[in-house]
Amino acid sequence: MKIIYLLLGLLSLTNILFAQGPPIYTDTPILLGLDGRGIRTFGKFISKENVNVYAQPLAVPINLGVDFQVGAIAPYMVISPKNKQSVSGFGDISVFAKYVFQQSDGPGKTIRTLIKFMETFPTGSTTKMPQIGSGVNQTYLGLVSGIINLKYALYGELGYSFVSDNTPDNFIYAASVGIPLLPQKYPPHQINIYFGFNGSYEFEVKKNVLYLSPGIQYIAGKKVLLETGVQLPVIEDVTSGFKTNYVFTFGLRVLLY
Amino acid sequence: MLKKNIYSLFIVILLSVYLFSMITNAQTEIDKSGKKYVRVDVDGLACPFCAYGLEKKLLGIDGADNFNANIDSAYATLTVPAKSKVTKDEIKQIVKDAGFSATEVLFSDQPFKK
Repeated sequence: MKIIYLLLGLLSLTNILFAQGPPIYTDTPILLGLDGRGIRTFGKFISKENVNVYAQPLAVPINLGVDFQVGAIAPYMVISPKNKQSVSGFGDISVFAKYVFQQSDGPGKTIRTLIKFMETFPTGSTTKMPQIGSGVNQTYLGLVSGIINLKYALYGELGYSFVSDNTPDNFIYAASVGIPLLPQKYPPHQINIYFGFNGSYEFEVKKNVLYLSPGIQYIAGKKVLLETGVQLPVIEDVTSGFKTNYVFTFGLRVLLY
Repeated sequence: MLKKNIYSLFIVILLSVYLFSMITNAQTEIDKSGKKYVRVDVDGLACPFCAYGLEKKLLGIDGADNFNANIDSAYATLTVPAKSKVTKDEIKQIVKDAGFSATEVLFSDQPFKK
């Protein structure tokens, strides 16, 4: 059960990975940019009371059309409990699909909404302690929406994660606002700052987890984007010993061609 | 009187030479460049990092070059060979395939003012 909290906490990480551009901690309804020809390296260091987790996902997003994307993700994880030996390996593999069903464009602005489906399979090892895998199937269905213009961008996500084996389901919610600090131009040379929150709520056991998620992003040209951020727990109804101190994220996105 | 006529004639010749040289220069410029300039007004272009996808798609037009996007004014420019047969509708479709909406496409023998 404890590992479930860890893995569900990593859900926002998949949002980062599959986002085709900004923002950092929320998903985006814009399926542009990488077009399936990019590399993203993203590291996430999670500091908890009795354990540290480092996750480095490997992901393959493929655009099957301008409004349809599929992909798979396999996170490599290192879990280091205090006073115990570290365990590492690939965690649960996920496949996902996104479909943009609403798009409203204007000069310098766009409003888009997509539906997201993600299935996570219990492929991660559960034979060692601590477990790398969750041991359960997770089916996520969500809506991602964004209002993006030249002065600011608002992103939001609502979703529900159905978890197998009598493990509580999760309601997922996230929102963020991004503000560019430099004039918009192309090729891009931009610094964006983000403020947002990410949370999940278990209806059955009435447990809530909420993080504040500020971040900063530097777009160094057409093909390179650097970003970093921190997530700080505001509400965290989890088992004692697994409370989060902070989550530190750093990443690089590179378009190959 | 004669002096005045000579002076007027001189001015006319000077102006004619100047106008002729301007026209000749302009024609030489067009002939030398062999380019057609394209301007596409693009709606939805709110993210400069995303404009790279638009650049890739538009530069897929045979012989297309010199892409630039003006994010603030919501348009993109590029050049295609003067003999290119690409149509406005084809360019609009390319922009749509890139995930944006093209509202107007303009062709010109001269570069568009920025």
